[in-house]
Amino acid sequence: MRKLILLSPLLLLISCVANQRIFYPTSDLMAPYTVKPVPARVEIRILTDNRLNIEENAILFNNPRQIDLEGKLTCINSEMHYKKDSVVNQVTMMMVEHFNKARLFELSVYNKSEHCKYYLAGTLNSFYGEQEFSHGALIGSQFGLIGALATAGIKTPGKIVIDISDLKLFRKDGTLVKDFGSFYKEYDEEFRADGYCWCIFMNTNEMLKDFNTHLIEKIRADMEGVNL
Amino acid sequence: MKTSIIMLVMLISLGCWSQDLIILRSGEHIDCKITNIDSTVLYYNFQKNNRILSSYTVFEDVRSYRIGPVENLQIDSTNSLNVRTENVVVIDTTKFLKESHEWVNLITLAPALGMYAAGWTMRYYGFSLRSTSKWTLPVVLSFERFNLDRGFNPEAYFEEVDMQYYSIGLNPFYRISRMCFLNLGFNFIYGNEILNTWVDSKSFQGFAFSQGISFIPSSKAGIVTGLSIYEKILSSEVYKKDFGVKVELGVKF
Repeated sequence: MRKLILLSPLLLLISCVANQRIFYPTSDLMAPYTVKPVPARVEIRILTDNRLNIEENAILFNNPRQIDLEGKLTCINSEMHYKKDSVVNQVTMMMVEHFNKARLFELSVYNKSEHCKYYLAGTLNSFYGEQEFSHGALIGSQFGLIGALATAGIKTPGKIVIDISDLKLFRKDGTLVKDFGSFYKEYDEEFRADGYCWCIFMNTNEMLKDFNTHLIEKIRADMEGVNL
Repeated sequence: MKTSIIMLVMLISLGCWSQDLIILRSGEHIDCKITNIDSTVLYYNFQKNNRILSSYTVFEDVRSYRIGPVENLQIDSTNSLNVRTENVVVIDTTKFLKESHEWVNLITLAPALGMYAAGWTMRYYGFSLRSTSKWTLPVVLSFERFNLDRGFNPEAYFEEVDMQYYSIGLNPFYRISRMCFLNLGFNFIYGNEILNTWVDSKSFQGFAFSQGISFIPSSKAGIVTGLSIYEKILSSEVYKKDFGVKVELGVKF
């Protein structure tokens, strides 16, 4: 009991720090039944995390979500704010859900399943988001509902980079079926801002949705004519 | 010697590889190899930091693209809007810019200070804001209340006046920028007034004009502000004309 009381501030701190999820709604992504999926049940293996080897990503791992970048206060999707489940796990899970909704494959399964004859593997090189901090949004948040309404439309410039490489479809016996190569997208635009730098996490999730939408179309196009 | 030849071949192949060009509407140039074009998206390979990467851009963001010798290129034959001139394809982006429109509701409260009367107006504006048109004509419902300044017409022998009027007209908005609108007003007024010296009420007509600036946020909800001047000309026995300033404050929802 005594240990529990002593540990409780630490537990509260952990819950306050790691509280962002990689998630976006998929209810609007349902493909019609006229869309013919690739006739394969595919395991979507957890992506290999290569982000630490990309220099640009280094700041995500050692900094809080609000940092001073080249003299400007900047919001980043700091690693310390993602839930205990790793970024690669969460990105993979969203890919599975999105693939199923879009009817890319007959069935997509997270990581491993004995019901699948194929597996898709890849490497995550970047899941990077940065955005200028908004002082206006911070001030607005101090004035309750009126302030929130007044600053609801504020946007600031930012950059989000999503990079997946070595995306390959294999048979369970290890035979390569199709090499999709890499898929990279850099979003350089204005994103919605808030006063506490949580916005960058939401914006990165939104861009992941767009990225996966186009990744699905690329895979679909590349699989045309491939004999399974 | 062998290493030099291999390096030379690699350099030549990398140079030849990026033979296509995409020019975005932002002015950015992308040296790349276009791999696929469908009705809305352009897929391409490009080089970054010694890596060959695949990426895409939507046609909404593309001004033009140039294709080198056609190799393994799949073109959507239903896309007939593109004009080919010596391998340069200029995109008609108006097709890809989707017209957006949203219905906007505003409720505002505006204290008014005129030369001969002071009061306030409560207004509801309802209008459809289209991305392709700078003008918009809102539906306006308003309620106005004001007090006449007794000193403005010392020759008028009255102690009390009861005035009511209705107005109908046009109050268009003209979009100057993303959040700034020119707010114009032209209204015909018809009303009745009764003085304490009269037995019956008397009708009057007139016109009211206004010119102002309104700031309406682009978000779905927010605070609305505005400043305008107004002019009134009436056939009333009491309140014949006025000229004043209104400060508007309200909400968008």
